[in-house]
This record gives sequence, C-alpha cells and structure tokens, in this order.
Amino acid sequence: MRAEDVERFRDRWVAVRGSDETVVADAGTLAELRATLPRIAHPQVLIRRIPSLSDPLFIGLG
Amino acid sequence: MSAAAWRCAHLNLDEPRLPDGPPIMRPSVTVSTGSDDADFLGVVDSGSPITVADSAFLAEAGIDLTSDEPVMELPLGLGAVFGRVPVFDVELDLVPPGDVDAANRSWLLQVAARPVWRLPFTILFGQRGWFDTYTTTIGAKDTLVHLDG
Repeated sequence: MRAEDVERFRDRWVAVRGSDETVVADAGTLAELRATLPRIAHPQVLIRRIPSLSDPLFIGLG
Repeated sequence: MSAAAWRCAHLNLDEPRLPDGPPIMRPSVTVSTGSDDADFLGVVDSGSPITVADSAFLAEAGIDLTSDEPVMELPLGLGAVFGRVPVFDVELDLVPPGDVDAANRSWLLQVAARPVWRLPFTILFGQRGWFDTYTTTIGAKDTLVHLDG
C-alpha cells in the first residue's frame, strides 16, 4: 500500500484493490467493512487491518 | 520450484517498526471463504497449536456463532484475561500467489473464534488447521507451502 494510505487508514479495516493497491472501502471492524462492500461496486479486494502505531508487537496469542 | 508447492513472499503488514530495524515481515498467505469479491490475509505461526480467527471472519465463512454447535471450546488469552472460545469446522480456499496460475485449493480445518481482534490480518494459522495439512518451510523472505501434505 502507498505510505500515505497506510497513515490515513491506521487502526482501520481496509479493502484493497489488488491491481493498484487502492483502498476502496474502510471501517472500524471487519464486520462493518463486510457490510459495506456489497453496497459499492468494486473488483476483487484483499481485506486486512492497518495496525495502530500504538499496537503492541504481536508474538503470539497470549 | 515444485509444481506442488507455492512460494508466498513474507509481507510487511505496516506494523510499527522495531526501533533499530527494518520493517517486520510476516509469513503470510491469502485465503478465501468462497466469496467472489474478497480475499483475506492469514499469517502462518508454527508456534501456535491451533488456528484462530476474528469472529467476524467465521461469520463470513458461514458459521452462525449464536446457533451453530462448536466442535469444542478452548481457554484462550483475550487481552489481559482468559476466556473460553468456541472452535468450529470451516472450509476455506487457499489462494495461489500472484505469480502462480492455479485454482484455489479448498481444505477443511478447525478454527477458534476470537471475539477480540486487533491484529493486521484476519486468521492465524497454527499447527492444527495448517501444519497438519500443509508441510511448510518458513524461510527468511518467503514461505514454501507444499500442497501435497
């Protein structure tokens, strides 16, 4: 993803278009994002969360 | 590379960098619930005995968390406390890397539903659910997934 998009969408779930890594939708939770996607026209996307800068380093589900 | 293996490059998931180091790179794979409009990011973790996902991802995979009977329940860390989480049988598709012209591969696995989820991916693949299906070599820059077990 573009650096400016990473900073813009931190702490958000995003749907990213594969061809050019454009964010086509974002939401606070995965469930909210999935509810949004059917309402917009979009190509195949990859869904992921952009971590907050204050998120702890993940080393396992403790 | 064997035709029966997919090489998946580690991904930078835009986590905060270590103070003195390069970006954190995670062994990552792409999966689908069969939906034709979205794929999801998974991370492979050989140290995890189970596979765990955001509860919303289980719903995406067709599990009704309120009425479907779980296979079992497990104690799992949820933030600073432990709670019991349900485990469900789920069918997922493994999506080939972008440079591989191949169809998705389906497999059946057990996935624990974690209600609290703030990770930069949707599902953590552990020993049960991933390594019991795919022999996997995690290198410095990529993950080699053997499709024939």
